[in-house]
Amino acid sequence: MNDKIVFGQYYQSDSWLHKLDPRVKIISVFSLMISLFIIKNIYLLLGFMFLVLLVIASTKIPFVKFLNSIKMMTFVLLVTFVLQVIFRRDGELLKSFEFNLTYMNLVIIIVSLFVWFLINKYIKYFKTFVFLVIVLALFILQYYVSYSPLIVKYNINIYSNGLIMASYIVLRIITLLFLSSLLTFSTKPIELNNGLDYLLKPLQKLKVKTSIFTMMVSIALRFIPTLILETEKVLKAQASRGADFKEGKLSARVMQIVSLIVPMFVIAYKRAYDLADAMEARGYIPEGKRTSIYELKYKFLDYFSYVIVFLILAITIFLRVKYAL
Amino acid sequence: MAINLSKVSFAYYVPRKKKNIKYAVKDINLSIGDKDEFITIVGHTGSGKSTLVQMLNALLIPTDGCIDISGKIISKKNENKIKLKEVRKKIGLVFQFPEYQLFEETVLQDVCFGPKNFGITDVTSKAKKALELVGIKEDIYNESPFSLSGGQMRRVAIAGILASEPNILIFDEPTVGLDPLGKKELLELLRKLNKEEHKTIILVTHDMEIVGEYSKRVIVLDNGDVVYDGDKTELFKNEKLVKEHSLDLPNNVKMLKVIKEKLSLDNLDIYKYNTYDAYDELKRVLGGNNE
Repeated sequence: MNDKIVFGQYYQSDSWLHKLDPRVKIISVFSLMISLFIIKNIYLLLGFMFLVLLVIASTKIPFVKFLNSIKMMTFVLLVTFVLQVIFRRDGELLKSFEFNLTYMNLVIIIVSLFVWFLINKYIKYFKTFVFLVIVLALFILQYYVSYSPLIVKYNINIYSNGLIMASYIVLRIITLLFLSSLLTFSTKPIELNNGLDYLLKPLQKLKVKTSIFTMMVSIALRFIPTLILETEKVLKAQASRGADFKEGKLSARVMQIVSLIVPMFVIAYKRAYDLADAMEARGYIPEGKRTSIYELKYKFLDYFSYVIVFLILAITIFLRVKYAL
Repeated sequence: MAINLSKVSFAYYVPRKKKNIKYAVKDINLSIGDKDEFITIVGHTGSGKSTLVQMLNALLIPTDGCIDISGKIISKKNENKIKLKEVRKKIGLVFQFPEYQLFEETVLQDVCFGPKNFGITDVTSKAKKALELVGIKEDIYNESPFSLSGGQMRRVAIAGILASEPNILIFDEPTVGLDPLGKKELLELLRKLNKEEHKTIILVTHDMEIVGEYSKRVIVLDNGDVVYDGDKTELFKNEKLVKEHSLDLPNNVKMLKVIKEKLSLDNLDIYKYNTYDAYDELKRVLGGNNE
């Protein structure tokens, strides 16, 4: 339990990206994402990725943090890659592997998977990695060992286009994750909300109450740490009354969780009423005109970023339309 | 002795470089009996009172050192082996604003929650006994705890702790937000539990009146250290210590002190915490004259 609750992924720094107007960052990330999906050529994609990496390098945010953000997706990325490589069947044939599924191999496969399910609770680090090693080992086994009677013989063919397509998709997802991480690492949630408030302003002409929406978002953001603290308190209070959230039967545990949820509802309601009263006491009117302490004003760097980003978007669209790249 | 703390330290966050560690509580040695003690823990905000109290209930496990709770050792080493329920059954902890822990449909059911978790038999009779002790009448046993007044809610919540019959009761600022009468009733209840049922009571408080009138032993914490542990009168006599740790004297003592100085009554014992005791003392010194 940390006494400082850090919400979101914001990384404190004083780089140019941190100083950029949140509106610019939001619009830039969106338009860069669009160009990312327009690009069809893998070399162009590599160039684009290189640009993103350059931006990352210039922001003083440790690269490990970006790697962490793709860590959760590793499994999905690997599965996509493998499926693409196996099932794509155009371009020239690079290599063909022949696997023999024999009775003995089948038994070994089943036993090792069973063992995996038994022991995977006790593995703390590199769980996915260990699993992949096991799967790979099972395929190697099928490639080399073929003593007992054969069940079926099958081929896995790897084609050049499959390889290219697979890396194209994986690279695209990684770049996408990097882009969105750039936004969340360099912008506080409250700044994001403020930027969104400005960006949504034109909608007010259509009688959409955008200020209410952004106020709701900022209140929700404000309350997350408070509610976490309150939850911790109630959790401790119930634990000292013998509530056990970790052990025991499922039905008993559900009961224990009720003992946590009910007080949390009561506290949340009470807090909400208090806040509503406090806001009214300070003259809050939902549709009233308000000024912000963080007045957003475009500076040179902001205009410059807009130009660069829209240039990139325009180039990618042009290349796609003209040369189908 | 029931609770023994030896060289106990606690840090909420252990950084990679052990040098930069910030202890909330540091190298504390204490022993607390499981019978008849009435202890108040004082110290200004951030001095580690709440941390200390939560460690006594094994809600926080000490970063260094170990706590011995009647034979059960709590330390970082055997963190996974500790039978938390057995410890918590013996030591009841009442948090600040305990009314927020109420959740059941009826008052009686809520009081039963603790004893049920600890596997105690004849839960209902124990719950009823506890409710009677805190002065909750039988006609609201079946009402929702959320329909009660603030003072009643707090009493029900305290009954929820008493019902598991712990030997040691810890209260973290129990009188905050109560009206004067509710405060007095609660403190009298604690005194009764201490005198008649021989329970050890540990109170965390900022209120010097409570320290003076109710406690026997005072523990002063400052910056995570125990700076004083002993008799309350000894503490109040040591004015330097009182000032240093931003404490104060109880009002009665302050008044008697002024009287002693102004009337130069040298043999007046100013350490009388109860108003009637103070009156008797004045009467003794002034020889039965008018007050």
